[in-house]
Amino acid sequence: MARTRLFAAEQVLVREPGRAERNPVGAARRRAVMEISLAAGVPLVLLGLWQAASGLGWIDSRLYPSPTDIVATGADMLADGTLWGDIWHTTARVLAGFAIGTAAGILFGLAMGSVRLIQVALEPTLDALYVVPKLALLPIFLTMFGLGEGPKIALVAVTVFFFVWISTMSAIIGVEEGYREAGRCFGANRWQMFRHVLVPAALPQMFVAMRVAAGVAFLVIIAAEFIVGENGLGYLIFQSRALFINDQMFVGIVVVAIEGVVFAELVRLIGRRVTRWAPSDHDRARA
Amino acid sequence: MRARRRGRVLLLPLLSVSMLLAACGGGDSDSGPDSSFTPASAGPVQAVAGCENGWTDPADLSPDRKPARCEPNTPAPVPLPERTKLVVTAATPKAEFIAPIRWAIAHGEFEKENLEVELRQVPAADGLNLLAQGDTDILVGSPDAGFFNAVNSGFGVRWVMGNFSAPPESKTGVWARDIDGRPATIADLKGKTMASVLGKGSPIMYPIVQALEDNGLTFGDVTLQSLPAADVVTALINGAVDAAWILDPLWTELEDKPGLSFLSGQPPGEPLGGVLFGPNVLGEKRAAGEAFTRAVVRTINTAFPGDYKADPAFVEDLSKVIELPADQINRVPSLIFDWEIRGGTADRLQEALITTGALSYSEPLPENEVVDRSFYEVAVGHTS
Repeated sequence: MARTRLFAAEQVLVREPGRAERNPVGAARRRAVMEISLAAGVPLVLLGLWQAASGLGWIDSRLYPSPTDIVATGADMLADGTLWGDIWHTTARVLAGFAIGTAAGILFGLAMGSVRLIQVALEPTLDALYVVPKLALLPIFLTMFGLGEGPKIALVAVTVFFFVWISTMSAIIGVEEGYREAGRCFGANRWQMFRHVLVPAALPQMFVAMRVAAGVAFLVIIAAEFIVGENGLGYLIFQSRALFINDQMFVGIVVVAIEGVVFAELVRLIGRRVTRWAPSDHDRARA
Repeated sequence: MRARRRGRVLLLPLLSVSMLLAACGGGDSDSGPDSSFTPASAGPVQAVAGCENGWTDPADLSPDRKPARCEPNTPAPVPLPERTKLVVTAATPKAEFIAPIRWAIAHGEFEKENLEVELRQVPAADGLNLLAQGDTDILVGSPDAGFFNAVNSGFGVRWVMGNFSAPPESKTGVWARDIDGRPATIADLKGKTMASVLGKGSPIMYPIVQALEDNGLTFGDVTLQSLPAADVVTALINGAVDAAWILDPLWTELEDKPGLSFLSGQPPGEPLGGVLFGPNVLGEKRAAGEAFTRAVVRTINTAFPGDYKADPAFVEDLSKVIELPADQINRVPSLIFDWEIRGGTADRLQEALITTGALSYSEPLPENEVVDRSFYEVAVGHTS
């Protein structure tokens, strides 16, 4: 840490360089070690506490199986193939719904953010639909699409759509006037302005929305699989709960958590590659 | 100073790993606090006036068996020396099968036993967890796969009373769409989709599996599709599914519909649901459990002994008690309330649930580990 000394007589402020400034490489290494330790340590401590509580009988291991039991059950379910089917069904529904919802959300967001008349025409309707709990639409989708994959994919798509649409539209509208002015100075026409100024400026926020939507997509599909169907991780979780097979229920919960994190991270990584000009989360946090 | 701080940070994973190792070796994760549950012993059974016909042989599986009945207003109340509270949960309190319990609450039958009964609506899976942990005392529902798995895990829960058997006129059961212009049969369901509100862990799997096997099919020959109650009938009518298990009173909507037929229902004279007691009532609150059972049995003998829907005034009262419209109650015939549990029902339920893959074990648990008839035997004074 830098130290400052104030010499009252001369009114001169002297600032000595701190350790981090004298040895920036070492400081960065120490910081990295601390961050990794915290990132790995906190979940490990929680898991350790859980394992201890379950294994030592502080909590009923039949209701709250220990992490090692959950891992063992998960391994068994993977080995006998029962878990793969549920993972596949849920993942396929999320990917399909996410792709459709994202494409539609970007399309509507770009159109409404760019053309005032389209925004005026569609925004009240979409705002009204936005506040409808998406799960309440499931019976309507069941009637529309029957009992196959359609209703669940549609539910995910609609949920993702609203996140992406609102963020895209607001990002386009919120592009700073300075960017637009710079584009005009370079003589950009309407398409060039859209292609080279508005979209690049809005993309980082669009990817943030997609990351949020990726997590919410899992929330929605789990609930939908609970209500309708005979497979998927949501079905596994709630059916195991109903059957009082709690270790399988926890396996489902853990797999959903892992899948959700992996999917959101994947979207973030793609976002970082596509929007190299935008600061990363870590950069933002340190700024 | 800095080195100490870094050391503390690095200590986190080390600490957790050591805790993890300690816990792995420190306890047997397969056993829980209540894994060796033993119910409290039943007291001496004494003959009860008015209940001379209050018991039937559990081995009697004849479809036309008359359910056990005592005289009205018997067995007489035996108030507990101290007022005791029992928390009862049910997934669907607004249902006819729970009528005797709600009638007993409304008409003070539990009060006569010095019992305070609080009925709460809780989803079945949550209700079973609460019951098994001792957070509630009684669950009104059914011995489903969750119940059997809980018993197998060592939880102190038992099936202590039946609820009802379906009247012969009832068409609760499997309905199917016509095939090739003719009414379908069970054998036609091979490769078809069957919808149900209740999943593969429900007791209705027993009649479904039995009907399939009686017709040369296996459970794997049909695809079971879980659907919300409101959508089952619609899905069957519009052809989204080929067959469905239709509950009371929804089947009455299908009777006049062309192209649909009723294939099979619940086994006659054999209740598949009822009352589950948890560790509290099976243990320290046993006397309260006996009082609860006595009040329910007395209510059945007094208010629901036979065709209780023959009296419109009674149906009006019932409508208020169970919060269902009278015309909805009148759409289906009177249920045959039956507090007894037939011999072998628990075995047959478990065998069917093993077939559907809903149980975490492969051999049925012995009946005496899942069924406890002693509460209603004490209530009616069954001494033979």
